[in-house]
Parts: sequence; C-alpha cells; structure tokens
Amino acid sequence: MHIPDGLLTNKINLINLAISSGLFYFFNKKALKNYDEFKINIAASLTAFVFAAQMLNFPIGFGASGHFLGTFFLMLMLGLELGFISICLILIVQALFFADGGIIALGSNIFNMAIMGGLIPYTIFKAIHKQFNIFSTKLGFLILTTIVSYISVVLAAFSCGLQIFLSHIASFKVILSTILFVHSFIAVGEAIIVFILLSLIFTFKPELLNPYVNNQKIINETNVLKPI
Amino acid sequence: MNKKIVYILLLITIFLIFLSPYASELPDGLDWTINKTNITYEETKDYYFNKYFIFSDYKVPFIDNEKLSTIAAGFSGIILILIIFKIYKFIIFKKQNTMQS
Repeated sequence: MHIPDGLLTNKINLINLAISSGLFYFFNKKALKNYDEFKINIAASLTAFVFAAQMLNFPIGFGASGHFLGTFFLMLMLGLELGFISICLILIVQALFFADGGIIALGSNIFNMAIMGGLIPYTIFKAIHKQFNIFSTKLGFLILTTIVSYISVVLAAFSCGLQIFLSHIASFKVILSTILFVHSFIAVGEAIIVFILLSLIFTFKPELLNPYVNNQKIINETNVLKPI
Repeated sequence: MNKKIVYILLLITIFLIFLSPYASELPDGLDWTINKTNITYEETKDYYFNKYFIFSDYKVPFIDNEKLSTIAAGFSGIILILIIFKIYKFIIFKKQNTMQS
C-alpha cells in the first residue's frame, strides 16, 4: 500500500506530512518521558521483524498479492508512542533506501499506514477493551485483536483510496470499490498473521501481553486444559 | 531472560529474510487497483530508482543472483533499522541525563 511519488497531489502530500510529523514530534516527546531500555530493545527487534515480514508478499487471488502491514500489531506490543515511531521508521527506511513508497508521498504513507492503519484501530481496540471485561480473557483478546487487525487494513486502504480520489485521478465509486475489494482479502491475511503471532506470544511469553490480559484468567484457563 | 526475547525475535527476522526471495511477485493491492482502474499518473519513481536508491526493488545492485540480492537487501534493511534504534537509544539516554542533571 506504499504510495509512489506522483500519484497524489502535492497539496495532499503536504497536509499529510504536516499531520504525520506533528504526531511524530508529539509521540517522540512522550517516549522520551517514558524511557525504558528493555522496551527500546524490544522495539528495535520487533521493528526489524515487521520490516522483514513486509517483504513477504502472499498471493490473494485475482492476480494480486498483499503483505503484512503490522502497524496495529506494533502499537499493541509497544504502545502508542514507540509503536508509532517504529512504524514511521520502517516507512522512512523503505522510502529512502528501497524506493518502496515515494519520498514526497512519505507523509501520506505515514498517514495511511501509521495513523489510519495503526493509531485509529489501536484507539478503537483500547476503547472496546476498556469497556468490556470479556476482552481481557485470552480468547476474548485474540478475537478482538483479530477483528481490529482486519479493520486496520481496510481503514488504511479506505484512506488511500480517498486520497487518490481527492487527487482527481479516479472516480470515488470506482477507486473505493476496487481498493476496498482487494484489501478486504489482504486484511484476512493480516488478521490470520496477527492471530498466529499473538497466540505464539501467549504460549511462549504471555507476560508481554500483561497490559491487556488478566493473567490470573490465563493461568486458570491453562489449568483447565491440562490433563490430570 | 529479557535479552533472550530480543535474540529470538532477531533469529525469526533472519529466517523471514531467507524466505523473502520466495515472496509472491504479483502486484500488491495498490498496484493492482491502479492497473484495474486504469489510473494514469506521472511516475517520478523511475527517475529516482537508478540514480539515488541503494536497494531499489529490494535488490543489491552489484549482486547478480536475484535471490541472494534480495536476501542481502533484506539484511541491509534490518541492519539499518537496528543502527537507527541504537542512535535513538543513545539520544534519548543523553537527553534524559541532561534533564536529570
């Protein structure tokens, strides 16, 4: 979903760059206050992991492919500030060294993938998670994160389609129906990957998900499943 | 124990890099949409491609073997990210020390 240079108008790129850099500055300041060496080390390795995972395009049919977005997953694991910084870092490296996404369109790519595909889904997740206790159990948490990761790809695609429409190069109906159609399949891949990743974390390192899941419940669920 | 998680994550990342040459070469969601809707725009990407970008299209220019080239580009990306985080960590650490003193 990396927008190349020349696809969007400069005005749209500029507005997106202003929003993205403003948020980057804000989150960077917040990250400075909550400095935690272990978290930064985890952030570095998770960012590298998502970068590598994004290189693996998987076929989805219709002659198209998709790749792991990972922005909601990063925010989930690292929190809002570090998660946002990590996503921006991936996009900057991809744009500057790999020609994946334009340099002028960098702000737009950050807006679509980090804000629409990460920040907003994470906020939705937090709001629902806080409201309903059922999502603090292992199963509830996995269901909610899987659904939200699906939504994250669709939201990012919607925003991307909207920007293409606003650049006056395609009609609203055509662009949105096409981009949402293909990304609704890519989103299934995203949801499956996030589900597998979080299930693995639950199995091997459940304490990483402490902020979201009531661990006592995990212990109880594990005990119930254990054969006597 | 904490460092162990970081190393495990990096090992998985390296494994993914070795898989990357086998990734699908079909157009991604956005490219597919652009093709399907017949969107035409002045692509400025090609101009940069050969002149400025080191690992354009996830390939290292001086490695002829395509698979090796993709793996090398992936490794370079990971090293770049780790270096940037090292610098970021150093800056934050320094800033915090100045704030405390």
